[in-house]
Amino acid sequence: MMLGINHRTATVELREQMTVSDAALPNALQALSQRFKGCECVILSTCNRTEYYIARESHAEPTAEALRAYVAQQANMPLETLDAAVIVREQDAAATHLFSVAAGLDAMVLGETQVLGQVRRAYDAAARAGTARRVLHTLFQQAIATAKEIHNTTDIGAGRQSVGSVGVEFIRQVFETLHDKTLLCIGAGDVGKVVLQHAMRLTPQRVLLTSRTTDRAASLARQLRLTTDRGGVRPWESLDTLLVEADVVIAATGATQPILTAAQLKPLLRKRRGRPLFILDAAMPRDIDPAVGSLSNVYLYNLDDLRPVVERTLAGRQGELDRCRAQVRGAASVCINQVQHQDIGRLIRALRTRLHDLADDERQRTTRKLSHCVSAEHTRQIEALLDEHTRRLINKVLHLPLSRLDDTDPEAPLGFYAAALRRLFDLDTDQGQEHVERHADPTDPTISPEPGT
Amino acid sequence: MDQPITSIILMAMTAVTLGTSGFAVRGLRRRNPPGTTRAVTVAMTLLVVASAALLGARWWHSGELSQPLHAHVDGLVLIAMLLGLALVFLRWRPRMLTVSAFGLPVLGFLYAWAVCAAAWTYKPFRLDSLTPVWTWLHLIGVYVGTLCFVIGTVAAVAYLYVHRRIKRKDDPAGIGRLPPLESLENLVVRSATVGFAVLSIGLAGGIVTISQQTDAVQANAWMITKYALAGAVWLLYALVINLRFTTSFRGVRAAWLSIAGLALLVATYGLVTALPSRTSGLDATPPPPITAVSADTRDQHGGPRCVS
Repeated sequence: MMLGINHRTATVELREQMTVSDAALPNALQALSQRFKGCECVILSTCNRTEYYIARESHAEPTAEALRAYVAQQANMPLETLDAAVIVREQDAAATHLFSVAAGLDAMVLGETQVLGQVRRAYDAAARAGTARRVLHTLFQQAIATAKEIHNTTDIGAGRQSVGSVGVEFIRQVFETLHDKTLLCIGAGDVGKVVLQHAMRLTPQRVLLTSRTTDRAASLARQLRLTTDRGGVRPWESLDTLLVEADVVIAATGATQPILTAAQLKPLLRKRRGRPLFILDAAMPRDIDPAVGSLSNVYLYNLDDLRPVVERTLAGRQGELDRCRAQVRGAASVCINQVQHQDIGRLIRALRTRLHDLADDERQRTTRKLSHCVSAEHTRQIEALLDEHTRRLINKVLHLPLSRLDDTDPEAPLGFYAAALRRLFDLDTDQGQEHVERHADPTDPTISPEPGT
Repeated sequence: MDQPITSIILMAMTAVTLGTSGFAVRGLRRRNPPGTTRAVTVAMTLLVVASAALLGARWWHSGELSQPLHAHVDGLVLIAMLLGLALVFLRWRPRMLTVSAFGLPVLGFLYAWAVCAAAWTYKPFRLDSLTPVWTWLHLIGVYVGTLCFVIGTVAAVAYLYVHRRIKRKDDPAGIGRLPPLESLENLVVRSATVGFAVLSIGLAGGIVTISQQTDAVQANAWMITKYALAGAVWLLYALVINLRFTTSFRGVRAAWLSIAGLALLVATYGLVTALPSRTSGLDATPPPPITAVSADTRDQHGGPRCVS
C-alpha cells in the first residue's frame, strides 16, 4: 500500500508540514513499525512528495484509515486537511506508482533523475532501520532497476531533467549572460549541488558558497572545483554582504524556517543600487519568505513556480511518456507477481513443512507402537511404507488447494488465499523457511526452486 | 511628388505594417514558427526599402537636391525607415527576435501620422531664410534623437511585458523566445543615452538658429510652450540616464520614464503643430521639430508656412 501527498495534490505549505527530514527519518520509520507491528515500511520524503510505502499481510494492520490517522497525527494536522490531499494506492497500483516515481514519470520535471537517488536513499534508510524486508526489498530494487533502464533506453529525461536545468532557463530570462555576474549558493546539500552544477554551465564570473556547516560547503567547493579566484566558501555570518554582492542566489538549505525575509532583504536592496536579484528557492520547506518576491527588482522562484515548464515538457514528450508508462506498468506487474509468487512459494513450503512435521510425529508414534510387535527389519520396511504413504497422502490433499494458488489465473485472489492459509494453519513463513530444505520433495511439481520465476 | 500620391502610398504602408504587426504578434503567441518569422522579416525589409524609395522620390521631385527633408512628413518617413531598419537589425540579434512584435505597432503609428502630415496638416519647411548648417543640425538632431527614443520606448514596453511575465512566473518558453530583461534594459538605456546626446545637439542647433532671429522673435520664443516642453523632454531623458545609477530609477521605473519621455516628445510635436502660430509664438526656428510658423513667412494665400 502507498499513502502520501505530492506536488499534484498538495500545496507547498502542506508538503512542508508533511516533510520528514533526513535526520528524522530513522526515528519516523521505527515509530511506524512500532505502531504497526509486523509491517514493512519505507518513507519517501522529497521536496515534491511525502509517501509511505507499506507491505503487510491482507487484512492486517495498518489499514488505509489507520495509516491516514497516524500520518495526520505525526504531521500535526487535522485529518480532514490530510484527506483533502492524500492519495492511497494498493497492490498493483501502489507498485506502479512507485515505479513511476522512481523513473521520474510522476516528478515535477518529467524524467528527472534526481528523484531516483532520493528513492534509493529512502530505501537504504529503511533497510538500515530494518523496516524494509522481503517484499519492499524486491519492490524497491525492481523499481530502481526499471528506472535506470527507462533512463538508458528512452529520451524521457533528455533536455530539462531536473529542477536545476529548469531553474537555469528562468535565470536566462532575467540575465543576458552570467559572465559578469556573481552566483551565490546558500546550503551545501544535494539539491543545492544539482542546481549549482546546472547554473555553472552559464559560466558565472564568481561562485560563492555559504552554509551553516562550513565543512560541507568546503567539500562541495572541492567537488565543483571552485577556485578561490572564482569565489569559494564564505562564512554564514557574512550572508548579508553576500546578498549585496550576488546577482543570482540559489537557496537549498535544510532549514525548517525561512532564512531570508522581505524585511531582512529590503535594506540590502538599497546597497545593491537597484541591480536585479534572481533567487531560486529549491528548498523544501522553503528558505525564502514568499513576500521577498514582491520586492522591486527581485525575481523569486520556488519549486511550485516550475510547474508550467513541467507541463510544457510533458506535452512535448507525450508519445515518449506513453511508452515509458507502458514499460512501467509491465515492470510493476511482473514485480508484483514475483512478490506474490515468492510469498506463495514460501507459504506452500511452510504448509508442507507443517503437515510433514505432523506426519513425522504420527509416524514415529506408530513406529514406536509397531516396534513391540514386529522385528527391526520389518519395522524399517513399515516405516518406509508409512513414509511414502504419508507423503502421497499429503501431496494429494494439497494438490487441489495449491492448484487454486496457480498464477495462471489472473483473477485468483492470491492475497486472500494466502492470508486465509496463514490464519487457518497458523503459518509463520519466516520459520517455515528454515525447515523447508528438510521437507522439500523434489518430485513435487507444486514447488519450484525459484518461486515465481 | 504630389501629396495625395504620398498619402496613398503611406496608407498602403500603414496597412502593410499593421498586417505585419498582427503576424508578428501571432508568431509571438505561437513561439515564432519559421514561416511566420520569415514572412515578418521579409515584410519589414520591404517596408524599409519602400520608405527609402518614397523619401528618395519625394526628394527627387522637389528639385532641391540640397534639401532631402521638405516637410514634417519627410521627417516622419525618415524616422519610420530608420526604425524599420533598427527592428530588422534586432531580429538578427540573439534572443531579440520578438522585439519587433512591440516595434511594429509603433512603426504603424508613425506611418499613420505621416499620412496625416501629408494629407491634412502638410506644411513645407521654410529653410531659405535660415542658416542652413544650424537648421540641418537641428532637424537631424531632433529626428534622429526621436528615433532613438522610439527604439528605447519599444524596448521599454517589451521590458514591462517580460517583467510582468517573469513576476507572474510564466514559462519562459511559453510564448516565443523573449529577450532577457538585462538586454532590454541595456537597449533602453543605450537608446536614451544616444538619443539624449543627439537631441542635445539638435536643441543646441535650434538655440543657435533662434539666436540669429530678431529680438522680438527671441523674446517671444523663449516663453512658448514648445520650448518648455522641449526642455522638459530633455530634462526627463537626462533623469533616465543619470538616475539609472541611483537605487530607485532602474528596471521598471526606467522603462516607464522612457515611455513618458516619448509621450512628452509626441505631445510637444502635437501641441506645436496644433497651436496657432501667434499664440504659440512659433515664428522662428525652434529647438524641437516641426511647424514653427513665422509671421513674415505666410504663403501667397495667407496661410502659415512651416519653417522648421
